[in-house]
Amino acid sequence: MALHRRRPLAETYGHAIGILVLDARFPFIPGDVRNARSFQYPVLYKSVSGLTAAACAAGAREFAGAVVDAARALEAQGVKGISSDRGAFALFQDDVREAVGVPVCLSSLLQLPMIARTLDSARPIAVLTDDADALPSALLARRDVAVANPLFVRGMRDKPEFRSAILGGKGTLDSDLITAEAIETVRRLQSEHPDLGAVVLECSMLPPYAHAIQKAVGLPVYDFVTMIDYLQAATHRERYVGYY
Amino acid sequence: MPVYTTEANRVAAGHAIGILLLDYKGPFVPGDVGNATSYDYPVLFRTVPKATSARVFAGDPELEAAVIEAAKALEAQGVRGISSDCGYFINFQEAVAKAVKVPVYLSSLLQLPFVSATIGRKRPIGVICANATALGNRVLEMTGLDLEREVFIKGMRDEPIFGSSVTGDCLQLDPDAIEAEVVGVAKRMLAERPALGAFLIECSMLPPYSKAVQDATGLPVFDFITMIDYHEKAAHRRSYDG
Repeated sequence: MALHRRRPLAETYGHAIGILVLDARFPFIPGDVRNARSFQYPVLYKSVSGLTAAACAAGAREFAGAVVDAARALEAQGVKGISSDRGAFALFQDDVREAVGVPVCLSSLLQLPMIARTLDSARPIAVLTDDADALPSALLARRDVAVANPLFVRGMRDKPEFRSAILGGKGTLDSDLITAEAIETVRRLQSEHPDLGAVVLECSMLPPYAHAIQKAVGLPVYDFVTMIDYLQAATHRERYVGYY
Repeated sequence: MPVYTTEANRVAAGHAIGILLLDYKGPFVPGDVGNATSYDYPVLFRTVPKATSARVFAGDPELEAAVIEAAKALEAQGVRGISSDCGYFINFQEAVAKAVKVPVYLSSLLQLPFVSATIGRKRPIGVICANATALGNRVLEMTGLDLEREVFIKGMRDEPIFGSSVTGDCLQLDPDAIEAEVVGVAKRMLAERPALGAFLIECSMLPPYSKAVQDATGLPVFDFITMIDYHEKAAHRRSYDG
């Protein structure tokens, strides 16, 4: 092995991606961004004290300093990229990417321009979110999010299990029920717009259902996990050992 | 298991991604877009007849029908996405996306908007391609990149070994020698632009050297393979069992 140097602030080593998280507690099941088993490489979490979903919905500019500090702390631990557990972290995307040296993708919505280009611009894209009203409209208008394709944003607020388990925080979560609720939501959208081209799961608690949604509608499904995997792949290149 | 139906024109099943190829014969080493072992899933290749690099660079309108036909043939075999082995197939990106139902990502350059979103505003993106003169603003605009972003482009064509290996139909290729050239180019780019935020390797023959570029510079390295892997994962979601 080559010579290795100690990082002054690092407590441990080898964490691939740092993930900034809201000040919130839910059952984070496998597939959720806040379940370490959702990734095939080690991730490091850092929560931002006092930053809640409600604060994000309200704009949360007063948290910019705390979010930047948390991102810098992750970078000091040696992570090679930084993401988050909420699409609305896009509010801090510019603050954080200017403050750290590693690539930053705080919102799953940052994938939208890249996804849209793979489809004819007339084909709609579905955005599935927890609460459509809480998604700041300015987010979808950002230069790094906006697309030419029609976007249909659907929330899960009217779905009883999702509403009580995730928006209400009752402390338990029945993933079979939420699977059915998510499928129903996307299927309905597809029946209204049969030329739907892709599904983007904005919410970090929805990736556990990506597989079931894809099976139901037969479309590519993008979410926080696809984005974080992509970031990890580009920051940890491997040698090819195939044959010729 | 569900009930499956015979698809009339399908030779075999299970190919994840279809890849359009230039009408060009070269030694495609592991890591090259044209080498099947570069992927963890099965891919299906299809050469576009008479698609020379010159015609693809120029986006020759007379080639469009052949590109579309090849893409449709891949779709008929059941692939869930279509890519290519030359970044300048971007000239046919819109036409192909209109002609098929599956996602289409013909150029590694289509990653530029995302790469740009993840790094500081003033940091250039380093693009390493084969032929830098063909990569102008017209092509960058087609990717959707915000043109305020500085893109620092270097071609490999002036490097002696790479240059002689890809001129005409290439007969043999020394990957170690080319790796040294690519790493040399990447290091010189970083010396000229110390604020560089990421590399994007445009050419489909260069991903074999992406790891070496990353080891030498410490920067994220995007290329055809990162793009194809990304879209393949979105097209084949797995269930979680953590």
